[in-house]
Amino acid sequence: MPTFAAYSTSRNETDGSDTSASRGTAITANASSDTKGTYTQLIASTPFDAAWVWVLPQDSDDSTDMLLDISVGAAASEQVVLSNLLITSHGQASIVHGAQYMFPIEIAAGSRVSARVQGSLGSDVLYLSVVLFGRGYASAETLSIVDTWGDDTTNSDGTSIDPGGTANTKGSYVQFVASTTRPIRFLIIAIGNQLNSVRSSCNWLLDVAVGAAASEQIILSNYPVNCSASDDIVLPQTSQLIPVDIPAGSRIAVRSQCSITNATDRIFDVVLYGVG
Amino acid sequence: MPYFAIYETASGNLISIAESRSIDDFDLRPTLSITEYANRIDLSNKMWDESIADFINRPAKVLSDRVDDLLLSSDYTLFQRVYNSLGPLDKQDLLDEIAKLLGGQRYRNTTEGTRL
Repeated sequence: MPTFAAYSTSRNETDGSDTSASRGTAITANASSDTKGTYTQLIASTPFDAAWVWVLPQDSDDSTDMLLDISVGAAASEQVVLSNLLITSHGQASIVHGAQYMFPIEIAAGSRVSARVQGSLGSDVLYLSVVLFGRGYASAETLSIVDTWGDDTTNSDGTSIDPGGTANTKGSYVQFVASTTRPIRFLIIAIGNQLNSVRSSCNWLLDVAVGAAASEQIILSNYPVNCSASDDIVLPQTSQLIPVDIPAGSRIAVRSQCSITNATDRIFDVVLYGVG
Repeated sequence: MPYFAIYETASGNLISIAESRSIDDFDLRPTLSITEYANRIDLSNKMWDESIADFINRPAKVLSDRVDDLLLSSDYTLFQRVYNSLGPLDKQDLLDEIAKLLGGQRYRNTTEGTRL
């Protein structure tokens, strides 16, 4: 017997698939760059109470960085539940390198789910499907709110992290949030490429820390990130769901070290998502 | 909103970039100094210079053109002989075709070799 079998009460459903084109639903950014487009519906009414949401973007039409919102609610009354999910690009071709997000958040049965996106180029298109998982799967606790930190809607990307000019030595911390508004149980790290289409091969180690400036305490150390000069994109684009225990009122900061010192290729963007 | 760069006074080494400061956190550590900035520093175009303990403009990316590699590098002398035998119009057409073929791989970092 497989050990990953779902419990008898579990359900899942994929929404937004376009089987006529073997991809997800087209979500089009506003014609103006760095401006959210209109909502596109993924499902009119969810058939069960969802406890997990798996966000599955596919290739966009252009080489842009994008920020994606997933919302629930009636048309013109949408409420964002997942804000500014970063979908990065290496700036020279229309490929999404496996950016996927899995969040343990609740969406009530009967909800309308929709999405909108902004891009660093106007009118860019992202193809999107989502999988909803009902209660009953072996799972972590289900939570309700996802906070986004470090997103930069003026450029459709994240906050730059500079490991500094000394190779293999941690750079300075960069603050992502001054004070968390709720206890955080899970963290997801998204990496952005800064549309750098000609990158050097190198490796990074990234620290996430809490605490006052100059007194940070590391809660996740040496998360590995890398880039190949052939692929020209910093990977992995998104982390797994990382269990953490961050109290409300915490300051969160990020730093990294890098194997090279090239002033433009050593930097990358980060966005953090905290589930609480 | 002001931002603060906290660095080691002696070395100029940047420790942390913060949105807020606490007297208790910083002023009791005499080895550290703080500089206040009016707005958040965007590290995509600024970088810390330890020698002056301040942010400076990040240098522009310097790239090499692989089409130029074909014309100048000793790795491609056969190509250069053939190229030099062509008339001016054919030379330009050939370079345009090569640029199309290279597409997004046309430019390379100066630290990379001339071969893909």
